[in-house]
Amino acid sequence: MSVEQALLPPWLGWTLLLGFSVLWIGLGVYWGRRNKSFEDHALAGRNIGLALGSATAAATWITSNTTMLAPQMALQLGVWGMLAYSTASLGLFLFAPMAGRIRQLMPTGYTSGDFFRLRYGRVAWGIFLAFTLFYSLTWLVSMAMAGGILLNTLSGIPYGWGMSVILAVCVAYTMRGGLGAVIGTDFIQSLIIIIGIVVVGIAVLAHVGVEEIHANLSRERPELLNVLFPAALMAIFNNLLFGLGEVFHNNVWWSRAFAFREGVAGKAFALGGLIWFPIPFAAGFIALASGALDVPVPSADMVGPLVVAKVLGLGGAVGIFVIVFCSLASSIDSLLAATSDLLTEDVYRRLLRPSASPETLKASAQWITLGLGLFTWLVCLPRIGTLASVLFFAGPLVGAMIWPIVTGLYWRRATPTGAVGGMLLGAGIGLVSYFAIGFYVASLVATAVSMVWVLACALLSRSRFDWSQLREAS
Amino acid sequence: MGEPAREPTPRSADGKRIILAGRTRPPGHPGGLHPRPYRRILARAARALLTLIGTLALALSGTSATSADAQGKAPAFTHEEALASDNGYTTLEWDAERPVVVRQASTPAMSAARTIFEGTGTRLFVSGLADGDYYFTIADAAPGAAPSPPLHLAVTHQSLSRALWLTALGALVFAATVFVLIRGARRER
Repeated sequence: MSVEQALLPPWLGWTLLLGFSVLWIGLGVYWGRRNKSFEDHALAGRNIGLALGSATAAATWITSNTTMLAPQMALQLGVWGMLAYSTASLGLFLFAPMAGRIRQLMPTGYTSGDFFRLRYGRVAWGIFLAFTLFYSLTWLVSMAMAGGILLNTLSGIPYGWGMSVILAVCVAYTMRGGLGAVIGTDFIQSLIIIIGIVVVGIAVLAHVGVEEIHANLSRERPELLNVLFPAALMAIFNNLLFGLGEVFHNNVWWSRAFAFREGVAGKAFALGGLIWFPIPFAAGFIALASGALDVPVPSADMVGPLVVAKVLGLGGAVGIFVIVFCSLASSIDSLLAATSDLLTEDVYRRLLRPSASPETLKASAQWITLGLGLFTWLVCLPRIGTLASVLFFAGPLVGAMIWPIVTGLYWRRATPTGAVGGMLLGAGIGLVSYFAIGFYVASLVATAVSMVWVLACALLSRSRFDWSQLREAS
Repeated sequence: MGEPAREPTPRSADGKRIILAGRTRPPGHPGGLHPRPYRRILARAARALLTLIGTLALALSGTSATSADAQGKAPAFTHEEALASDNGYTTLEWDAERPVVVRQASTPAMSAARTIFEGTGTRLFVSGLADGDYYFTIADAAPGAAPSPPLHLAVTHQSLSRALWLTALGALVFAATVFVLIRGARRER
């Protein structure tokens, strides 16, 4: 078998791509009809129920990384690698109580930027904006780039076309339908992804037993089963803290906390985490079966599609194409919506046009979504492979924001000095450790340093924050 | 990529085979060329033109003479130096136009070697290797083909004690975060 040939004929890839594109844009237009104001567009009228809420939490967190990187981590770091990846679900579990607290403290809030501005002042807000925009834009670019590369690898669709189509589709329905369309499409996408992964898992088990997989790993890849595999051990908590930082700070998650109906947020995030938790195990298991199934793997990130194509043939290749497309769309649309809302609320409204009407803000959010799409497209077009790896620099940045956010939500004595110092020191020392030691310690070091600084400042502080100040956001 | 070697066929820029005039139709075929002098000249000119287009298309599509030359060469790893890994995985890469066999052993003499790849392709990801020395050879899949000199991979995993310390630090930071969250959530109620 040639391991570098596309799994699907291009005509079939194009047919699937166009079919789903029409579906998502149609749904975006349909769901966007009722949006009149910025609140409707950005927060879906603050009326999202439990079913849609759980589905969007899970679907947004199922990125192309989940379906492609989880198998890669299993193949690189073994059973610990699968566990390390699945710890990202703890971000959703732990955000569940925080989401309830956020709704309670900021019933009329819009973004995570509102929290930083009102809780810690403009300096902390500025640092937060720099960190979160770096993270969001690199995530967006890496997703769009992954989209082009994956569609090319799976079906032979040229990189530029695949990347452009997936980005254009997401921009179109996000612009038109806002968060409501994003959450609605997430619901359908999450169902497709979950059913697809379950079918693939059952199909793999039907082809090869667990005992056979274990025997193959013991014989040919023994380190993947080693409990004391050093790199894998280090990855566990580093990955966990990276995931926590991503969820705790990013407006993708805060906007959902604001958009969910009263009393829904906590349950929705906990259920979303529960739905997401087994997916890295299922995806990782597929990778561990590659040896027993005699599937040669040219590069670790392609192990998932190759095993699925081997087990399920053309049907499996179609399935993996659809799963990957849904995973990409569910993350790109969420990032576009949340980042455009952040720029509209925190930059356009707070810094440039404080008196803008709700209709003007809605129109601005739509134009900003288009601008973000164009920016991402221009950055992705040259296909600079190393650009996606810049996302790993964000690990220390997001890790350093965990403690300022957690203590800021629950401790009156948490201070702006603690938040500013925690973010700067944590991110700085985390980045140094990234280059001095390795990526597998950067988030961990950043979180630890930030924690120590925030705790010290809080213990020494005499000021006590008045929670009512957070209610000013509107 | 990855197709077995064969006579280089002229292809257009989009990869389609270019059919050269006069070759695809046998003489005497109803649509064939009549053996009149001016038509012969025209046919030769058309053939030359199409050959030129085919050559240009070959150059544009990247299927250059270089790769044609490579078809005669034995497959070889592209790594210029021995490999080292501190996490038990690496990617083997090689140049080959025909199907190859990659074998792995724990001695340079390749005793007790096992086949880890057989087919067309130019890369293979290997992982899950324990501490130790590994040797890989690549050979043409044709029977009797000589293997390449062994490529050495040294696997020395990172310090376990450092990994355990960092894991303990991670557990501590995580436990503290959960403690603050749960305590805060309880007080909120």
